[in-house]
Amino acid sequence: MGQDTSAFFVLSAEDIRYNNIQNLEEALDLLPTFHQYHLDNQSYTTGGSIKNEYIAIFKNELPYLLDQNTPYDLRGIPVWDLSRIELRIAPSTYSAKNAGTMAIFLYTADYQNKPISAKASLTNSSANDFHINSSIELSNLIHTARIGINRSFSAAQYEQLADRGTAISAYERYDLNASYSYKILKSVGLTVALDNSFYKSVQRGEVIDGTARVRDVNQSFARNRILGSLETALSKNHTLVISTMWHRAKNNLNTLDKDLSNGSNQSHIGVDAQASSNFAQSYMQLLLTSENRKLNYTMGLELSSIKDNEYPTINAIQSTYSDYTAFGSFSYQSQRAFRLEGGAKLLTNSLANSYLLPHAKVTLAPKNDLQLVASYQKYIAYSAFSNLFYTPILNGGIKSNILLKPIDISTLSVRLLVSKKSVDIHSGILYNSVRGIPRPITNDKVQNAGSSTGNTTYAGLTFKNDWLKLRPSVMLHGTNQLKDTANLTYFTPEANLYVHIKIPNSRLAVSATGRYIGKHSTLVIENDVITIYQQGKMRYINLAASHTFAKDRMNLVFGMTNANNQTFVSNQRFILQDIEPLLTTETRVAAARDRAFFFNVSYVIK
Amino acid sequence: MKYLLFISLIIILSGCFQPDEILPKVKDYTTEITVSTKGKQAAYIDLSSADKLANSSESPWHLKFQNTKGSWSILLNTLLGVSVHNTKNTNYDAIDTAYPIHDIPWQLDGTSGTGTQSAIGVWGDFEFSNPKSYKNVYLLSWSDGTFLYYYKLQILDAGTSAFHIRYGTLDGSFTKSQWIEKDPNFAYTYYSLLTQEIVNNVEPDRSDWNICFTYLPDSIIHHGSYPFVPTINKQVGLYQALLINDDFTEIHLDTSKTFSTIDYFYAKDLEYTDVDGLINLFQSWEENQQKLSLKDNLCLLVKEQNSYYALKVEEIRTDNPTEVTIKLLTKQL
Repeated sequence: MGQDTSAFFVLSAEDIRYNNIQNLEEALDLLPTFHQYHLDNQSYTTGGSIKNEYIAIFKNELPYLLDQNTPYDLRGIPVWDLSRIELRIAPSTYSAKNAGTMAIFLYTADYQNKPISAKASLTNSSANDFHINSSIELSNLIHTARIGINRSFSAAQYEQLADRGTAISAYERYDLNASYSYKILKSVGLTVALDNSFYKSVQRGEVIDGTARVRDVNQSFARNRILGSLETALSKNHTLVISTMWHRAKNNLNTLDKDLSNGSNQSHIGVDAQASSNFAQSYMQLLLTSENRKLNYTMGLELSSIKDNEYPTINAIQSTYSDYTAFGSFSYQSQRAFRLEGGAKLLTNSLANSYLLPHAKVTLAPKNDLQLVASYQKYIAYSAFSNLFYTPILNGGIKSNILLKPIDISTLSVRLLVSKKSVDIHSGILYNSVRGIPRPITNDKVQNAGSSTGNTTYAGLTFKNDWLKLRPSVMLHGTNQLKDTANLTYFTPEANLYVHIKIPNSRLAVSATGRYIGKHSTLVIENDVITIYQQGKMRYINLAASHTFAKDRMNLVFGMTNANNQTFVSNQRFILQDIEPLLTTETRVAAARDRAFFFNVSYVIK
Repeated sequence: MKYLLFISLIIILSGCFQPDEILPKVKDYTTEITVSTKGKQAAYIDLSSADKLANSSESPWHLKFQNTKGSWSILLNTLLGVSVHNTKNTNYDAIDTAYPIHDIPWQLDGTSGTGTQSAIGVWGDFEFSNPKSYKNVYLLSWSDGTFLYYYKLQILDAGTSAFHIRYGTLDGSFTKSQWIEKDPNFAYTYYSLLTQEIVNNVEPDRSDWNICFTYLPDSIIHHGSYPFVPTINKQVGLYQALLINDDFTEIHLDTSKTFSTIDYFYAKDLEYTDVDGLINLFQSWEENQQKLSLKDNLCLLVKEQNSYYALKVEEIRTDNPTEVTIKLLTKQL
């Protein structure tokens, strides 16, 4: 099984700059298939027909987020250092967790391999955002080192101009990334990298009627990743790679009651206070690949251990789990007729059981302009620590999932690919089935009782020539989130358009990004009542123009985000009684921040 | 160097968190409340409303029926002097004008540590979802200042959410059977035996009030020399009282802090209790001076879900025991 590189959509460094994207949360808001809104300073992201928590994120092919994705704040993942973000549908990955239906792959820029190269970038916007970063790379072709720093400030989106309550909180983030590569021999390379972010944000509450009091939440987030990778060629066709990672993420949320008449404040502790999360993950992967003309194979081991540092022990039991995955797969390619890939992952969890997770993929006419790809794979996801280990006093009164059973996910994908000189077309159907979802049942105990299904029918096109790059796509997502109880499917249509035009015979380029997402429904069971939350239609338009100067070393971008200024959309709550849903409340959620103008200036030394 | 300075200034000045604004201190709110045994018998206070006073009417009523699910108390309008006698006879027709109404003990509702005690008391077996009445016939008596009324009352079998009563005059000239549905929006449903109908708006919606200044009956010997309004029962007097809507409201009596220094941070850590009525809360009897004096150091802290209020009575004026005017200071914390 080789890593699948056929991305459904690629958000390039240009896209990132033209759309003023500063973190992964903002990137997902512009990626096809994703739906995002903000309520009470929390962001809710869904990957079309599958929840965001079942979508793994990789950076430079190593896991960034595999487990405990739910409480992770994606604003803590910067994008200024990335050369591209890939969205892959039904990807083939080595991971047995969270990476079967969709996965996000982040890639940093390749080394320049020049004695010295550097770049700096500064972005300011009319919303009072300010982002500045710089990186420098030194290389003598054997040793290459790169270090980059960043400071980002993003202003708040207020619920109402007259009040202080924020819908999207302001944040300030500092990043320090470093990497070092040592080419020990022609066929042996060592890479070590550090990836650190620290950010704080302030969620501001509205003044409580009749008082001078507010309830704010001060958030401090810290992430540290240390990565190491040793790659060696064992023979002409065999490569061995050992990779390790240590990842710590601490998301501390301090709820504060403040009296603004005298400046006093006090921490608020209670079940209505936002919960902090803090975990550390160790990871190691051993990968042996063999690449031949017809028969290829990959085998390896993946070891992972993750520990909850927020509550390291509960009732004298450590809140930790580990898993060990052995994987193997092969691919066989006939001359022109087909390519067959298959294999399995055997995952053993230290607390639960062993799981055999098969995968298979058939590509018809792999060398033709027209290809048909069908794949099936099974993978798992773990519940959040709060559902696995926490006692009711720590998780809002829900008894823990004593079975510690993972969530079981199967994905079936059928895709048609057309590739011509300047046109690529993706079209297909993606189906997923999720079973064993932890869900509070009547006596408030969490059990692996829930199941859901989802499907996405999509078609996307990329047209590219010397001056135009056009990427339209349409999708229809169907979700049946309470298949075990309500068994109702809700559909969300989506249309996206990304356009880049280079004005011929000039250094000027223009860009436009547009998204339309139809009504989006989420079904949950609240107090034994089937409840539907439905967000209204969303439309985004971003526009930008760029010009290069000084022999292409300097680039200036001037743009506008949310040009149509659709900031809030309706959020209706229905309860399902008999057949017709009954509307109980209608509030507003933030779909995007206010319209803003921005400029970005970057300078590159090569 | 000039450019470097310019860039540094941009970096330092751009993109910073706004400091918290400073808001003026919330002003205390003063409310003047007058209650009387003859006129407005109860003043309901809604602490979350702007003017604090909740709407209620002064229409006369005789019986009130408890609306709480599973509760079946029937209380009397003590301020109107409604009293009751349990004949322990289950034959409605057997109770007539020959009954010795002048030689029997008459009971008024009382007050206990846990709240109001019904003089009618346990009128049936409440183990059933629709209680089975013992079908005792009660005699009711009251005066409107001109006439003295004597009625007989029998509580018939109840529904799961309704009382069923029969009442009428002793001579049998008037008898009426009436279903009284429980209304979950109100703590009690009020009924007038004279107009033969449910009286609306005697009390506000149960979610629209926190406390109520009124009079409650209690045993005279419990209150020593405190002044009271006499009742038909010589052992029982009417006293100034505070009702608490214990469905939504909890209270804490504080004497350790002054009103001005009580704030949210202090209030939220206190223990609150669930009480539905307190008598003579804000005054104490000075034996030496033989008069009532205000408890200066007493603050009443009220908790309604996540909202906290501090209340202090600044002044109580009582020219005669049947009427009282209270100046109440309120602040939301």
